[in-house]
Amino acid sequence: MSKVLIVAEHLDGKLNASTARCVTCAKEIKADTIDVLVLASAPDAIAGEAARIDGVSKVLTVSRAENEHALAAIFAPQVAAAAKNGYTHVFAPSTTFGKDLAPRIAALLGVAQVSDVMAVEGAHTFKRPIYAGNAIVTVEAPQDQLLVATVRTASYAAAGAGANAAPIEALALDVALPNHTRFVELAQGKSDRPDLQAAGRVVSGGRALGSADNFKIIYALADKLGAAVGASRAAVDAGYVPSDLQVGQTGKIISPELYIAIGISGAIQHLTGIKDAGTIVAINKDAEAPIFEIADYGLVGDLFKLVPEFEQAL
Amino acid sequence: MKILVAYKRVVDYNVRVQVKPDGSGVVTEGVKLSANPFDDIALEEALRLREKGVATDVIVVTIGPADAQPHIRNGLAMGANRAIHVVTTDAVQPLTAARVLRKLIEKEQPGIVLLGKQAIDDDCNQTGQMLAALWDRPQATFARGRCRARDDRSRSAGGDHDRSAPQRATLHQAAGHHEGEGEADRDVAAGGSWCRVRRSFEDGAVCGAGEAEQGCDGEGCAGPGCGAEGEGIVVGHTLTPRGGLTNMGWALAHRSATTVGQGPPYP
Repeated sequence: MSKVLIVAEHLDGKLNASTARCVTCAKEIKADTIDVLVLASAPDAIAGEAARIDGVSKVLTVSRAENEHALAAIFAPQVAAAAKNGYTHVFAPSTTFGKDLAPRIAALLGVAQVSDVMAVEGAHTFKRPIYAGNAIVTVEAPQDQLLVATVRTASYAAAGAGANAAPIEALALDVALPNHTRFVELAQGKSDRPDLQAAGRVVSGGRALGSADNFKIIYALADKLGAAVGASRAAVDAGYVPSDLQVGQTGKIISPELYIAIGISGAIQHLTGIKDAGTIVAINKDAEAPIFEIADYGLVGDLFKLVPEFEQAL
Repeated sequence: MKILVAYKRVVDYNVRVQVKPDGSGVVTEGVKLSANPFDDIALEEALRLREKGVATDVIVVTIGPADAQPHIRNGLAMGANRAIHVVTTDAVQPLTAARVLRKLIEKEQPGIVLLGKQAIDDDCNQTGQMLAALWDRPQATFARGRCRARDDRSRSAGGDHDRSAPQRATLHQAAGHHEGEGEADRDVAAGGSWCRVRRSFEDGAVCGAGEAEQGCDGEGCAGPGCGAEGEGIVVGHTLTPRGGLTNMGWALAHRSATTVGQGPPYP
């Protein structure tokens, strides 16, 4: 008898697609109910979107001023309190939001967390990647306690939206919130490009680009394709791009339909971030680069010549 | 102010792990073990804060088997003032690690705890956040860039979010980037004193009795049998994690059937 509570990820009044992917994962547990929890200062629009996701039983909202920004220290006690209302599972997406929040919830509840669920074997048994995705471990959580898990969003398609109209309920929680953390500023790259975590097409650059300036050719190609821009850790560490573009074991795990890796050698830690992509294209001047072992299409040559040519040809 | 740095020993990131034939685990015997790369970055940041005068002491903590000594000594060689080795042969899951660190915090009273954002073996990315919850402190995850301390009471971490933590102690996780500075810039304090204690943890309780008996006050082992090099004081308990996840089976991953099998051979 499983009852799943999914913590909704949202920003600027819009629900993040990661929530619908969590719903798909929750369905595999064959839960009796799948509820979505929206913590926000103005939850109505977000809750409305969540209520339309196929498979959602109910949407709970907790509306308070402190919830205006997603701070783990503020959200966690509220989710922990909500979870105690008979839930067996608490899910969050394995995104920056969910990774920040979920372990804090687990510790408040005194339970272990399963990170990056990629497959459901049973209500308390899951598969998850370890060692940069080189190995998969099957873990079993104790059945007599709440389970907190983050869902590897790249492993699940988003549940469809439209036909459902789940009831939306305001949830009253009597929870003391800490005052040791406050939101100061969100410095987010403002971009018309699609969000990297959810994009259907991604163009990524690696260290071979050589400079932040050279990344212009990546951005240009991405814009031509209507794609998001990503990068390898090497490019991020070298300062060519901001860190929220990082794709890989310790960056974002994505599953676009099309992934173009430019000047990326294909270290295993990067591949684990893209292995669920539909089609992988690689451009690299080193024919021995490991990326070519995994790419569906490969082009060996100088990216500074090839990428502009490619962009022109589109 | 003291900074506690969690310093985990993991399979080196360059190693291509193998799963045992019976699927009962990953092969770790005979395989190169190293400090978790993100913990190294956390340690570097701690040392940098010490150089700036924000902190006075950097203490590395490792939870692991007795043979992790060389790993711990490496933390000292990097420049930590002291090292604490909590000895256990059990696999340590994040909640247990967080509880151990919480207990050490009670004893050491650090101003800040720095951890790597995730361990590259289990890829859990939980311990820092769990510790923050147990300690009821702010957390700054995936932090990158320089840590700025405003008077010694608050810190903010740059990155995707800029959160100021008005309290004294902030939990902070070091992400991928650190600026390379010459080795000459750092004081390398080799041979700092360290205590090796085995403690019993039942739901995170530390045996206070053991500590008092051995006279380990953490400043330098004052108990019998403890030399300047800090030979260990063994209290003789074991770490017994409870209620965690049970690992049931391991398998090698491979890319989906539509493309080439196992992924690149590793140099």
